[in-house]
Amino acid sequence: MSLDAVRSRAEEALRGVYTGVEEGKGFVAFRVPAERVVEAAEALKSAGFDHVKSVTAVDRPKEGVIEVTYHVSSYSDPELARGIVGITVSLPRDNPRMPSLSRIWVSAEFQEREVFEFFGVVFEGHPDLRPILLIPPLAEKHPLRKDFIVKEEQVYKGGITKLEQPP
Amino acid sequence: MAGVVDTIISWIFWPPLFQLVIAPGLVAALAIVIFILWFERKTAARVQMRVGPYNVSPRLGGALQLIADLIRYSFQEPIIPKTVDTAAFILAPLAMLVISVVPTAAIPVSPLPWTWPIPMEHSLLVALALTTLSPVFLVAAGWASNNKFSVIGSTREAFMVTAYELVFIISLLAVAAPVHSYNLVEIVEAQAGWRMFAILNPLAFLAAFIAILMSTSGFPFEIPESEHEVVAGPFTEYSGLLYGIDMGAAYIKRYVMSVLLTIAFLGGWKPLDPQPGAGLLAGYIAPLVVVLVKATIVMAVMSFFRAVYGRYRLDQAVDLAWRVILPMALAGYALGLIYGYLGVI
Amino acid sequence: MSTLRSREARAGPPEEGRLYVGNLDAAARRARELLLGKMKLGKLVDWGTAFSLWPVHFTTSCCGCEFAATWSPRFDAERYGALPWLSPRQTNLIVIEGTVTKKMGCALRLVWEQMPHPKFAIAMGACALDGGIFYNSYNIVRPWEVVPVDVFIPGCPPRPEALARAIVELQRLIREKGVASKWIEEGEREDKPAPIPKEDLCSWWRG
Repeated sequence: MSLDAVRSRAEEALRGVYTGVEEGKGFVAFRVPAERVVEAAEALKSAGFDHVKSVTAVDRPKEGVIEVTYHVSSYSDPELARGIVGITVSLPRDNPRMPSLSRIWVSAEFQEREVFEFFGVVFEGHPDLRPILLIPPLAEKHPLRKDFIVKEEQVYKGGITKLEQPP
Repeated sequence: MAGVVDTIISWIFWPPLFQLVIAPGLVAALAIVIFILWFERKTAARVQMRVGPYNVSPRLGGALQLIADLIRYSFQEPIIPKTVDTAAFILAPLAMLVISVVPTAAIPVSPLPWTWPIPMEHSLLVALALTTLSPVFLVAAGWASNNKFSVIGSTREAFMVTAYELVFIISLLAVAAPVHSYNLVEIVEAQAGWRMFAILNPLAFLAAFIAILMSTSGFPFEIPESEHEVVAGPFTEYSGLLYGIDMGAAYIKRYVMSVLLTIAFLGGWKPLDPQPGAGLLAGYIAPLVVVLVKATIVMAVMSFFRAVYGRYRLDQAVDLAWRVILPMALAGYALGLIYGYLGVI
Repeated sequence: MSTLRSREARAGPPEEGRLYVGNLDAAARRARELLLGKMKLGKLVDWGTAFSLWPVHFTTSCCGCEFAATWSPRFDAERYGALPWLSPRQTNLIVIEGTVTKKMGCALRLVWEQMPHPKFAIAMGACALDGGIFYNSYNIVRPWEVVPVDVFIPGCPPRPEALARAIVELQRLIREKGVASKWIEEGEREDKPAPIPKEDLCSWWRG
């Protein structure tokens, strides 16, 4: 019930920009092409969605894309505060670049830095694009991508075993 | 042979030396401060239903804990960072230690004139003036450390000086008015029997007590060194023996001010009454011991506050000092003037 | 005299308007040789250090709760003379409580370098031993790769008794082996030198 109002307001703001919709519990995500994401963000901002709750990404190596999702919501408008609206952008996996939204929503700044170091997505126009949680040599390896290999657990088979080191 | 022993004794008990270096000066101050620090930790532990320092010497109840701390501090590496002003960094704590002890020269511990290091006509004023010197070196220590926490701590100390100094001086002048004299000996002699100024003039006594707590970072007012806000205040960069000297100097200042409080308000050596013909033991040592015991009790009460009270903010403490405690000290002074006018004492 | 002159040559003339305090290092070395070498105060120093282990706690994980409980009324580790302190300059023991990430490894080393020697380290909990549940994470270091650790406490998290036991073990180590007095006499610890981390943990901080 409450989500419908949020959804209709967001649809109205994004009319003609989005290419697909996904819906979850208390959550609507609009798929937006990468070149029109600034336009979509400005439309949502003027519709009353005033802050970014989180910026995250999903690595899909089989499809060759990285999907970056911005979760936005509102503090100023109590009707919009009942739901979360997502903007999902698909980027090519070998060269993921997209315009930064931290000028529109300031709260996205640190989270874009986090996505940058963990997935290697370059946000163009970001004021300070440095690694935030990892040390620089590790941040270049983008550890949350699917092709980053970590040590795995092994079953004890008796005797002295040694954990295999990743290649 | 007996003449030689007498000469040596007369040298040791030469008042300007004995009073400053041995008792109530440096040696007695260090001994009492070590006892008080142990007492403070033990009291805080008992209030929190703990045991406190114990295993270092189980038979003595952990009384050697502070000796162990002192040995550890003395032999630890004294770090002098490259960014500090080296000379001021080293000299400030030493100067603070020495300056804190100096007021004992103006504090009489016996009514007999041959035990006074200096003439005692205006000794209350001299002692008060000398106690106001040491905050300068605390500020210097913080400033020389070139560390942001040290500078913040020093600035807080400078603010606190404005809060407590006036209160302390006015409340101690309240005992000079009824006696019509600045002579500490006459002030003590006026407090015969149970007519102590702490009972006759409780307002001034309470104000002086709180001012001592403020001036030496006693617990409700432990603002310059408050460890959750500024790491260790002006002493953040100090390590090893220099830190020990720093902490010791703060406690020695509290001890000297407690001795002054004892003399002015608690009757000094008063249960005893040395007559002019008394020898060394009855005329000097016995009254001295009475004064030290009273001062130690005052310090023990202050230590107990550590376990009981929280901490004021800087603005709250300064506000309290100017709005509540300064009027209280002024009322105490007015009470002293009334006593002096009526000639009660 | 020669050391004085060489120091002056190295440092240049003392600055204008500054009091020259002399060669502190040489004076400290001479005092050390006199007190520990000739007067044999080593046992006293070890005794004093063992019963005055002030820990600066390096809380990075859940073991911090157990650390707090160790000094609370029920367990009361202050019985052993250990007093938790906040400023590393005045302490001589660091208790590493839990997982240390790579960026935190830099902070750990910095805090360690700020403490005056003789100084000791206790690694607390499974994460500080070998990573614990984060054993295969890409972003942790083992504390023993960053600072020399004297006592390890297993457990996830260890009981407060275990931490108190570790302090007693450390006291025994100091008094039986004379670690503190040897350290002061020689100026550095020879049986357990400070490790050099495998990778540059502090590049983010300097850059």
